[in-house]
Amino acid sequence: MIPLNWYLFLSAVLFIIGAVGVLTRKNAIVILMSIELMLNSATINFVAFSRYLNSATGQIFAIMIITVAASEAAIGLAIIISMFRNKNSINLDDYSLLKG
Amino acid sequence: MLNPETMNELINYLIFGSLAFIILASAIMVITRKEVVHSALFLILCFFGVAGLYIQLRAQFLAAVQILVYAGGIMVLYLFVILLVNRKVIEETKRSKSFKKIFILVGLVLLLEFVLIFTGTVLKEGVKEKIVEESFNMGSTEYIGGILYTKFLFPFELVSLVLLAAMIGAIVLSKRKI
Repeated sequence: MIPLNWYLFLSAVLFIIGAVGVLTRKNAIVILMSIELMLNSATINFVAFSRYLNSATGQIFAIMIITVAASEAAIGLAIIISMFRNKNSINLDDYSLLKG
Repeated sequence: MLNPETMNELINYLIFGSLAFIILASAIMVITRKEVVHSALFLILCFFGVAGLYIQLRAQFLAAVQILVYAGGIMVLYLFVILLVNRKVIEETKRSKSFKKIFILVGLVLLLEFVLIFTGTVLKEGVKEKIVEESFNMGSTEYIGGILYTKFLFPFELVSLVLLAAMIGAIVLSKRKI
């Protein structure tokens, strides 16, 4: 049996990769994909705990996370499409209207 | 010759290692590739790796959902949006190298923090592991469906409302004129 902390560290590293992706990239689509990576790392934790504590609640949580991720992707991509329509760009550097 | 128990254990570790390698390598590819389409395809690979991990954790239903919803549904949505957005526009503005280094440093600090938190809490006290080998099939569709429609009925209905709101929101946002 693989120790639980291996899963925890794997998901931590995956989360960090997603966070670094959000910070370093300028493309709105890639940033959304990095957020998906972070959500996936949270789901891995839930499923691992569900296995090691012998309770299915973690798996139910994982299903909820997948649902939220689906709606987040739909909304985010709709926003990207309307951004592209307005300014013909999805580079986040072009969107600094709130800077004043 | 190894006895079957240790052999089994070894195979388990081997599967975990290769899945972890696939997940982490493709995740790094996602955030480093210049072409957005390549990032999206590597993200699909990453999702398949995570689904493999779920199967190893005996969550078969979740693995199927992961492949169907993530790799099948969400990624097709991503690919369509990449298709709709003009390729020439996708090019990124160059960001200075020092900025990137700072962010990677921030990531390493975050990782250190995670490790400290894990070793301070979960690993210090230890999780009371209650693994029951094959006594009942926790990850099966039957069991998950059973508790999803009884114990977790209210969250289930709430999450369906979230989906409805997201659907309406996506339609309103992407429509030219309402």
